[in-house]
Amino acid sequence: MKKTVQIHIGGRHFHIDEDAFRNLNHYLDSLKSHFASEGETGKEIIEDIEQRIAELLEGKITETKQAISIEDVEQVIATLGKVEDFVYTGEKEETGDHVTYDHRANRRFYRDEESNYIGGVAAGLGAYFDIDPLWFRLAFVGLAFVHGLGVLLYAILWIVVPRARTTAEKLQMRGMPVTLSTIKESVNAEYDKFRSNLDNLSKSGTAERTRNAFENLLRAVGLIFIAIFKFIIGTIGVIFLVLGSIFLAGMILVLLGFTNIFGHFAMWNGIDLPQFSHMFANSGHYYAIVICLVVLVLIPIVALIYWGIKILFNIRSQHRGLRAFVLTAWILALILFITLVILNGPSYGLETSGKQSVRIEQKTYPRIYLSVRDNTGNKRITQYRVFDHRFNYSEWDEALYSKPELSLVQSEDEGLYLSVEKFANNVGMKHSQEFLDRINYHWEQQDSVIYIDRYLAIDDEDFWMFARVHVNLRIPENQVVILSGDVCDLLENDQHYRYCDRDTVLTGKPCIMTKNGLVLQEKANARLNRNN
Amino acid sequence: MDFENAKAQMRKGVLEFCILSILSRSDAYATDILNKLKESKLIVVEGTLYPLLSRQKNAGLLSYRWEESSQGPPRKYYVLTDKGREALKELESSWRELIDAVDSILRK
Repeated sequence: MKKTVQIHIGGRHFHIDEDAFRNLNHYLDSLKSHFASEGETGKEIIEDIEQRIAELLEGKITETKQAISIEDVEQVIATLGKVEDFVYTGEKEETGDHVTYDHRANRRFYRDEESNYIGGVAAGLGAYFDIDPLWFRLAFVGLAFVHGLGVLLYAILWIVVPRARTTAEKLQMRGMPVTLSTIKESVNAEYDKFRSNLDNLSKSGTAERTRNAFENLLRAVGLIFIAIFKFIIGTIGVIFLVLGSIFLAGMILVLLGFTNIFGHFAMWNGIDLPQFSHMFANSGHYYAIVICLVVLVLIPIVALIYWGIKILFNIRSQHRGLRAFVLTAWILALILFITLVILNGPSYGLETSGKQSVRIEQKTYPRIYLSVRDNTGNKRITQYRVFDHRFNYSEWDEALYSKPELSLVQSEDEGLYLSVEKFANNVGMKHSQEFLDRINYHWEQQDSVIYIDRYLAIDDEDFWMFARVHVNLRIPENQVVILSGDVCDLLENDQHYRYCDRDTVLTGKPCIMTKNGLVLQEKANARLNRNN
Repeated sequence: MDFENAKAQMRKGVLEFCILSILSRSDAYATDILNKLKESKLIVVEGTLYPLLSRQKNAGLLSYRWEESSQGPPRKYYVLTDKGREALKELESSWRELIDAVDSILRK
């Protein structure tokens, strides 16, 4: 009895006598050392020869003789010849002359169900074009939003494109830069699996077999779970990536000054980072705050993208140092940001006001008319409400319109004064005047008529000031005033209540200014007469 | 005088020519090529073929594809490239020239 060993060669399995094995091994070693100087080419030659050896050895196996004997090996070696017998002279002069033939010609498009998420279409495309399948996955997801095109396309490809089933197909799917060792490995793996299954089966006994059945069932269930898990993880990865990319793109656009990405939301129209940080513009920490904000927003976005990629690529790399650094940076930015906000808090919260009083040229007009002028120019104005703030927004000129508050009081002297008090929030102390100057409210006097604008128009970029104006008209005692009807819209609450009440509407009728405010002239006259 | 190297070079050149012309008829895997070469007694030891194939492949004269086989693992089928076809044409004409030349000398 001879001892036999098992060998893998050229993708096949053989039982071989020990002495024959030693002989064969020696032969292969001699080949290897001969071709070693030629690197990859040498390896390929060896693999091809091994393939041939396997073929020849297979011819030696018969029904009755399962193991390869030393005579068989000697015959094979004689057929192939010793290295010295090869008609072959060194190819050193040609080692630099490398392959440039077209790999693609050998490629075929198969679905790759080994690295699939759904049907392996993207993986197959990736293998075919030698591009990471991730891009195809993203493209499919992206196209899915275009009337479901991606889903349709995917479904069609899934149905039409065959699955790479055999080793050769799998290799063709990936194209040609394939060494025999790859194919050998995959074939061997398959063979081993097959053989171990056979071995398991051959261990007779029903108990054993049922146990195997159970094991197989468990394995199948496990595989299904793994598939589902893989799918979910993949989806999360895609979502992370898509979200991260959208945020990143949005942020870049915002930083570049494209502020209209939020579409028709009047409220958001004006918010972009640099504008937002105007609130701190006066503090001298403007850039520090902008940088903090960018870091605070950017790091999570990049992290999101990174995680997405990691999940999709199944990367297990752990850059502990990097993670610690990024986390530290983020926390530092947060601390700095909070500190700066606190430092700038007082100026941030301040409401600033500026008053401009004008004495209106006063001849003795027997009657003064107060009228409201529509300064919207018939533009459409939409009203929005954000928290407690109401915005009247016109898309046409991208301006916010707010109503001034009007109060009519008695003048301290004989003069007629009109003062406009402007209020602005969040402008801080240093540059408040600059910001107040940006609040322009118009009024006009034409002879005895004073026109005041119905709206204060503010550029939507300045929305964050929450600007408002208070118009104060000081009227000397006993001056006759006639208010137009729409003055009521602007009157401050208290006066609105008093002058525009349904029972005692003062508008359109001559009134006079008294110590107690406006009264109807006829009533005042009546009282005067009664007193007399 | 050592003729071994001259003989080897001659054989090698002829073998390469023959491999190309075998492949020009149809794609083949190594064993097919071997069988044809052995039929015409051009090759003594099979091992000779593989380095030559590999050399020609590296020179861009051949490429290969994997093909499933009914028996055993997939086979490497060699295919003549356009460049290989051109090389074959050139070799063919120089082969004829050579034969004529050698013949004319030997006949004298």
